Amino acid sequence: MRRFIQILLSLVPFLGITLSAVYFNTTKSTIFGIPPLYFWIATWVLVASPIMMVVKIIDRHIGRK
Amino acid sequence: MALLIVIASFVIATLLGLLARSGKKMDLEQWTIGGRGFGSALVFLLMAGEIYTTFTFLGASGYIYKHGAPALYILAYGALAYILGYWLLPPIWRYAKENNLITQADFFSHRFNSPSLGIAVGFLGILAMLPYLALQLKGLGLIVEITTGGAISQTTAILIGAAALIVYVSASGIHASAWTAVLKDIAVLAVVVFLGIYLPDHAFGGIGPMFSHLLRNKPQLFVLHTPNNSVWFISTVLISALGFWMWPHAFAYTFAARDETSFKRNAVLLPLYQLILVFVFFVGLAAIGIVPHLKQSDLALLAATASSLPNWALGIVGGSGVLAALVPGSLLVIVISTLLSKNGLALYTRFSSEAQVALAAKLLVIPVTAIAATFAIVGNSSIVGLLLLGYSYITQLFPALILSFFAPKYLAGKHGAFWGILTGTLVVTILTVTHDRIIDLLPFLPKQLADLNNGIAALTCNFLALIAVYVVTVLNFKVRRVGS
Repeated sequence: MRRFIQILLSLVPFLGITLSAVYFNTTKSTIFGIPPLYFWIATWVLVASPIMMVVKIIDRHIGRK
Repeated sequence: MALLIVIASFVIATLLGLLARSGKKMDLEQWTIGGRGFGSALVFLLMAGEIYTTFTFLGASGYIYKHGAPALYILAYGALAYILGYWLLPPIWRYAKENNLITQADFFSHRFNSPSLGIAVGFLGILAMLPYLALQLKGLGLIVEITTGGAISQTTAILIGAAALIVYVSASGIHASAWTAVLKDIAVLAVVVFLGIYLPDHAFGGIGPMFSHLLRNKPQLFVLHTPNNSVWFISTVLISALGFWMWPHAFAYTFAARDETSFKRNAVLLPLYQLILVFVFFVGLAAIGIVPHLKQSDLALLAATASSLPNWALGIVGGSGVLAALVPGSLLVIVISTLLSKNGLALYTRFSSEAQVALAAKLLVIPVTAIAATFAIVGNSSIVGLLLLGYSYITQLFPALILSFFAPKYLAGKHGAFWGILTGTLVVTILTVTHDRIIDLLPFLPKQLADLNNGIAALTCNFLALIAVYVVTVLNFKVRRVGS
């Protein structure tokens, strides 16, 4: 189950980045002055690190068991 | 002044590379994969070396200058590749260590119990790496020519860079790459962050005003549109992320690690490190305001720097660019030479010892570098174009590698792997030579796929061929069983 959660978590940035190309491909609005597509992709790259940190922590728990 | 700084960076890189040899007996394992003794920090720098190359310096800033939003694929794929590395690299490292493997071709040959497949993989690796190496030398030539104001021509710079590579790679192998990587990352990071803040401020009064101005005047820079639309973006991000670890030199620094925890730790840190690419994009966008009518977009960063900063600062940018070319270039030369020697020459000649294989690999550094330098001088493809072609080829190894770990033996047999890789490679070659898209060859496909990355199209054919071989193998087995 924990391994399954790890894999799901790893897939989240893949979905976030690829789907953003469809849903945030606009210049009608900006987020903090930044075009939505630029903001969204940069955010996902930033978020990828903490997500992988969680995956690694789960790994450590699996290792202990 | 700029000329002096650029020359100094060549000299420092060469000296560091030569010093890296001290106290080590350079046998093949030590020369190619550092005796499997690199700790997390060195593995981090070699893995991060992929982010900050001449491609980043020139290609990324030039691509956003010319095309705008499609350049975001460069930021996106790295982060996804590191996530993939978390899962992929530990089993690859374990298998290589258990079986004492040195090259990617060794890995495929051993994993599928097929020396012929090893040769095919080695050939494909070299085919993909040569444009990548040419790209580094071409970038180096451009950087030096511009930053020295033409005092050193592009061709001369390529030849000097090639000579420096030959000297320090022959002497110290991957240790040279690792030592110079430390200096390179410090220099490139400082330069990129400084330029990414200074140039938008210089041209537009800051990063916020830069976006406001460009959104008003060039809104097309901030959306994906045909031919680089969403389908192109998603497929290009995927092909680059899947192909990231398929490069033979990625296998080399994976094998160089002392333990597998390095990969997991780095998978957490590297997406953050990747984010510094945002500053390169700021440079490219600022260049639109500073040097708006460049014919060669790859020069955006250098031209904007040249017209905004004093000569000595341009020299520092040039020096960092030289290092950004030499570090990944040296890794590529080492791996191509080892593949040619260990998985090519050694199979067809009478090499009786590993020392002879190592000597041949070191000697091969000269012709390999010379060929890449020739490509760099003669070729006229854009930097991003060259890299995407390399990725399209090398990603064809992905299905076989993944299935060899996670699928039943039948599906991932050597025949399936071979025919899959061959089919994918042929599709990439045909589409590249004819300048066609997959929809031109298969007009019955949905129109939405018109801008699909050719590498993904080839990867699909690769996978279908692999499945077809599996089906034929199973049918054959059943027919024989019924017959008996």
